[in-house]
This record gives sequence, structure tokens and C-alpha cells, in this order.
Amino acid sequence: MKKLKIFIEYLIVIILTLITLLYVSINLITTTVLNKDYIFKKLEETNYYTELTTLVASNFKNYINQSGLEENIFEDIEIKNKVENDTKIIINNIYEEKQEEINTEDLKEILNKKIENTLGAVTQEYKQSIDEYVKLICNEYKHIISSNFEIENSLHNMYKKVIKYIEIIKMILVVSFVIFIIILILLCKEKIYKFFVFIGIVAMSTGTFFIITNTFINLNVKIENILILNNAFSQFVITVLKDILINIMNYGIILLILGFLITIISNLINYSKKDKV
Amino acid sequence: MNNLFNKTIKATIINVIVALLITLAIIIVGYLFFGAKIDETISIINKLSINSTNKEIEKLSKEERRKETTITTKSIENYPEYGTQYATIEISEINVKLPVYYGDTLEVLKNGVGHSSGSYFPGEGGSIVYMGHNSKNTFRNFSQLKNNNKIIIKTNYGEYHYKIYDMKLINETEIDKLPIQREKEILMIYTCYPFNNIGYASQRYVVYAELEE
Repeated sequence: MKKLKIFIEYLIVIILTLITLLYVSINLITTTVLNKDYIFKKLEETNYYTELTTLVASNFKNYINQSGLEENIFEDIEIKNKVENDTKIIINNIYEEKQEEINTEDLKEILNKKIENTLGAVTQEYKQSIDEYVKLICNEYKHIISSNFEIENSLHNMYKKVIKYIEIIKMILVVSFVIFIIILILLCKEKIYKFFVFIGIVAMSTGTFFIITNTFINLNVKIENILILNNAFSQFVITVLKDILINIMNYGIILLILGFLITIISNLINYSKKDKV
Repeated sequence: MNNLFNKTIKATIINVIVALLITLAIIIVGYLFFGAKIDETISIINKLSINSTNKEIEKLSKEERRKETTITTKSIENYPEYGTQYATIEISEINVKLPVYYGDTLEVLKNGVGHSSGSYFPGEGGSIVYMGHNSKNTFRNFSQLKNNNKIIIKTNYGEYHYKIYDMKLINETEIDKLPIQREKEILMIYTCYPFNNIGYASQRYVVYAELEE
């Protein structure tokens, strides 16, 4: 009977460790990649908008040579704010119900104005050709801006599903955690210090798991060298992944120290009580 | 007091070992169930990384890479890498002397003449398709070219002389006017038309030249 009790106690410790692991991991995901404000913060931090503006300007240059226009015609056009606003529209489309389209009318206006200022009055024949050219550049702009989040519709649907399930899973985890804690208290009601020792073991196991996971990822994945689509997006992905890894390590260290302290204090109180007796 | 301390330390060490064993058990069981998926994910992420080998290749100068291209009986060994320069084109009648890059993206065309990746290389005995912008520094003066004018392509594996025999104006969609075959070595170079166009040009001016034996 005693052996069965010990077996159940350790089984509950393992279950509690798994619940803590899952809860902390889910929490980590919901506060980072599934959090719109976090994404905006990271885009800002990695100079995403500036990098993307440079990329857009560089791609505009690709269209100048065949246009017959001067090479420096689009050099001083101010589109950083537009790039930032349009990127935010795409991110909002992923995280919210909005399905806003990127409007290039203002860009068309800027480009047409720039061309008109350079060339002066143009014939109807040239006007048609310029319109076609500006349309081409605007399409290119739309493509660059949205290419990093090209699958925004499927991302939005995936986000909706994940959020829905994550909330349910979180609820199940919290309820199970409370139930198993109550069972553990009941099992340890005669030696309550044991309950705290078990909690300490749960915290230490979870902490060690996170530290090992972090070390494993750092050793096996070359995060620093990741290259997806372009420099702006790659830098953003690298920063987010590095941030998640730092958080995993921090959680690991905190849980390990906390678990160790709970265990040592519980053991100390237990033996000091026994000594007094 | 010493005894109390010893007992506490001993008990805590046992608890730490238990915690480590639980972690180990979770890792082993987790790896048994999800090991393949984990390896696959790591492999995918690492494929997205520029590995050290790629970086070393990038360090190789373009010159060194070009030297690797050789031709043996109408077949090139070690084709140039996409986006790299492998030749120069000279058309003395219109003062053109430009680098030729393997590739046809706008990024490539910004630097010189592009070589359509679906066509053959000089010396291979097939259709070679080159293209360039109609800008001042490239093919703006194509209209001055005439039949029998010479085009020289200099590569690291040989020099090829072509003689212009035809010029055509085509629509951008008429790709059948640039046939790819391997019976005769034909050089086709095209640029946007009108040459002094402003804006988007939907027509292409093609110069056809044949290899001089």
C-alpha cells in the first residue's frame, strides 16, 4: 500500500511537471508570436520598416533603366510612412477580423507627380505609357510589402484556430493542475513538508527541461544565419527566435532556483522539527 | 546543528537527482514520440540558414569562379552561377562593351546584359538569348545596327564572333520569335522598344546574329 502511495505521488509529480511545461510554453507563445503588440514592437526594434523601405527603393531602381527616365528620379521619394502603415495593415489582417486591402493610389500620385515634375508636359501617348509604368511599380510595391506575409489569409485562419484551442488547453491545464495539487495535498496531509518538496521537484524538473531545451536548440540550430525572403524579414525572425530562446532560458533558471529553494527550505524545516521532537 | 545541515543537504541532493531523472524520462519519452519531427524541423530551419560552406563560396572571387567554366566539344562544363558575369559583349558600331551576366532578372539587368537561363551558351551550337535595357549606357542605339555588323562575345573559355543577319520588332508576348533550338548557333539580343520610350514599353527590338565559322 505504501509503495502504491509513493508510486502515485511520483506519478502526480511527473504529471504536474508536464502540465507546468505545457502551460509555460503556451504562455511563451501567446505572449510572443501570437501577440500582435509584441510583433509590432519587434518590427520596430529590428528596423523592419527602414530595411523594407530600402528594399522597396532598390526594387524601384530595377524599373528605371528601361523606362527612359533619369536614374535618380525616385531617389528622394518619401515612402517610409507608407511602408510602415501598409505593413501594419497586413499584420492587423492576420491578427484581427479586418481584411483591409493595400491601397497604392497615394503611391501612384507621388510617382506621377515626380515624373511630371521631371519631364514637364507629356503627350497622350507617353501619358498612357507612364501610367502603365507607374502601375507596374505599384504592383511591385504591393508584392514586396506583402511577400513577407504572403499567406496572410491562411495565417489569419490558423491564428483564429490556434487562439481558440490555446484558450481551451490553458483552461484544461489550470483545472488539471489544481485537481492534482489537491490530490497531492491529500496524499501528503500527514507530512505536509513532502508536498512542498514535491512542488520543488516539479519546479526543478521544469527548469532543467527548459535549460536543456535552450542548450539543445542553440547547439543544433544556426539561428543567427537564418535567411528568409530578405534581410528585413530574416532579421525580424532571428530577433523573435532569439527572444523566445532567452525567455526559455530565463524561465528555466528561475524555476530551477525556485524549486531548489523550496526543496531545501522544506527539508530544513522538516529536519529541524524532527530534531526538536 | 551540523547533523541537521547534513540531513537537509542529503535530502535535497536526493530531490535534485529525482528532479533530474524526471526531466531525463520526459526527454527520452518525448524524443521517442517526437524525435523524427524535431529532427525534421531542425533540418528545415538549418536549410534556411546560410551555412559556412555557402559563405566560403561567396568569398571566392567572381574571377576565380569564371575560370572554372570550360567548354569541351559544344558542351560547357561547370556552368557559371546564376547572377554572375561570365562574358563581355562588344558591338563596335554602337560603342557597346558590356558585361554579360547569367540570368535575366531586373537585378541582373541593372548591371549589364542578361543571358536568358533557358537558352544555350556561346559555343554550344544553339540559340543564345541576351537582353538589355534601352538605356543610354546599354542598347539605346540599337537602331543604328545594320546587317553584317559584328558582335563579339568574349568568355573565359573562348571568343565568339557573330554577324548580324536580321532585326525584328516584336510584342513582349511573342516568345516564338525567339526560338530555342540546337541545330545552329544563333545569337538573339533584344531590348525594349521604342528606344527612347518613357514609361512601360510593350514592344521588343530583336537583333539576330549567326556565328561566323
